[in-house]
Amino acid sequence: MSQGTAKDVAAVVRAAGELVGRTRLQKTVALLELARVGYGFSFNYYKFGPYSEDLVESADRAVALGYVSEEERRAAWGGRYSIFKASHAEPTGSVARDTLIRIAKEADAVALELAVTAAFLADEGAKDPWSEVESRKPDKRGSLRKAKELYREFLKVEGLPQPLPTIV
Amino acid sequence: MRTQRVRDVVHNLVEFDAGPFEQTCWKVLNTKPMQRLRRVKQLGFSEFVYPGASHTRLAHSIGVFNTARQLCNVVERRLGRDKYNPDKARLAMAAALVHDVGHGPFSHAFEDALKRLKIAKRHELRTMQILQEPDVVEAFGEFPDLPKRIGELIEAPYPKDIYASLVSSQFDADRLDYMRRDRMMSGTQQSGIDYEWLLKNLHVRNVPVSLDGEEIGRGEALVIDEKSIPAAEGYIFSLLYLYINVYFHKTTRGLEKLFSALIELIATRVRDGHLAKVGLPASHPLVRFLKDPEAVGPFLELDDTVILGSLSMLSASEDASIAELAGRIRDRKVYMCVDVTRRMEAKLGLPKPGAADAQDLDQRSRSVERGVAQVAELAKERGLLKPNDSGLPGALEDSAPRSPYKRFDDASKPFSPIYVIGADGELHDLADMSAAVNSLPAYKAYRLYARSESDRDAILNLIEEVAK
Repeated sequence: MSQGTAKDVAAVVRAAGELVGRTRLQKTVALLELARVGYGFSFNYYKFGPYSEDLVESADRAVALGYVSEEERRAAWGGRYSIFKASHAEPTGSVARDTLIRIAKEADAVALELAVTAAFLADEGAKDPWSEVESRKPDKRGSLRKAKELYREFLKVEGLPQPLPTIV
Repeated sequence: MRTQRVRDVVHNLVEFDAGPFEQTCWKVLNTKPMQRLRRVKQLGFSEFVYPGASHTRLAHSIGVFNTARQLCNVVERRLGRDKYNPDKARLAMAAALVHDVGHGPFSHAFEDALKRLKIAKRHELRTMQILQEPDVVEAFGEFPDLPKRIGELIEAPYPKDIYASLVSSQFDADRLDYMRRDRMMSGTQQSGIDYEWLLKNLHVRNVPVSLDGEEIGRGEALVIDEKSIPAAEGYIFSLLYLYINVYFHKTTRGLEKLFSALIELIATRVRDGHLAKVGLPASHPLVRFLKDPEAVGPFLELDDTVILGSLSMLSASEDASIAELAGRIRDRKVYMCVDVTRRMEAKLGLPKPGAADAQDLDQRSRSVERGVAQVAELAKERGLLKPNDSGLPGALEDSAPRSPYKRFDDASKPFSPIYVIGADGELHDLADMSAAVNSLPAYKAYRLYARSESDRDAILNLIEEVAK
């Protein structure tokens, strides 16, 4: 059982103002955990990289309790996705955490997935996480450069209690 | 070389023909890792509720192989012989046969414990590891590239071609077998699916793969036509009723939670050097595995029978907590279940005569969800779920949200919609063509299991407090 709660999910969404997509929420919180500015959510590797069932449940509870709202949207091509929204924007109390959330919020979805996956694999002991990401997700090879650029942005964030894995 | 035949409760006669590929599959079936699945039950603790549900993952694996073969026939019929790729079809069938080889004892409950212990190895990676075992490699002899290719196929984020989607999609061979087999063996009279009709009306189409609303790729999948919308609705509802009646039965889940707690406790004692108090010898497969969870050898020694056979020894453990948990599992003495969702429905979900919003089902549902969420958050905040000093939990939590049909992007799995070929020839999400599927809510059970009367009272008080 993770320590994270619905209030923690709400704090992340409030810091972002809004977050587009459930996968983005997963990767954003996974990034916070890797940087040791998270809330104690526990992640395992799934098809799209680090994933926490407890986070899904806490997000559902945050919606049920009215802390945040979740709106269903339909993309022009027909795909469905959700947007988590807060009634008001509010910093979490950690500048470093807020900066990571802001960068993740604006990032390209695939680049974010690849960058956080590489950091997660490095944290789990992978010696060459980017090669591993490439071999696990060969169809996303074209986004690796963008993912590394994004990761450099994460590395620039100051004030983290523990540095993110230095993989670029 | 001769044809091998297996009698199966779901498929009747399953044949492995005399050709080199199916003879290879027969050899793989007879390897030690596959035969181990004879001792891993498909439904784990469901047998404690449905006495007939004692079928094994070996029987299921044979069923999935046969189903994959039938789906390959569908693909061949739809693509035509010229476009059909027998090599990729063989890969899909072989992957179907071995897809469960990485399951541990009591599958998901064991995995849950390992995840909490941070020693979980992903099921797919474990499968890849096992496929490199010498006897498996030898069995694949005439098709030496298959183990590696199966690993790549299982590991892929989403299926790229139609053959891969037979192993991982809404209409994959795994689900098409387990839904029929689990229904039959549990004895539940709901959840029947129109299998033959679905098979006759499947088509191959190129479909989008999305990530947070962005189309990130294309894959091939089996889709249905309009004639089979009722059958697809039945398929979705059947899955929902399997969740409710079988997979998330309160006693089954209660036993799984006890089992996970037991494994965690044993692992903690072993890690802390207190093996002598556990009640198992150092040579026991569970102990050997917990000391070296990455290695494949000790993992392959584990199965349901090893665990069940150790319960008597564990119930005599010097460690009172281990002894209690093991004894409870052996004797089916589950913690007392408090179904928080049901209780909240009774308090907030029923129409109140005379109230202005008495008939507002949506509002009542939201009140129930809010109440359940509050209980869950408070249970965590107030430490109800924390183990006592001996490591024994006063309350166990079971949160089981499952959606039989996901309209949203799911952050764990791509490829969730079922597509229908509409009258306009275009592909449409089933939920856009079926009011029944569109209105289907997710199944959300939230339960707390109490060890003692006082633990139970604490939970009931919490519910009362929230429902006021």
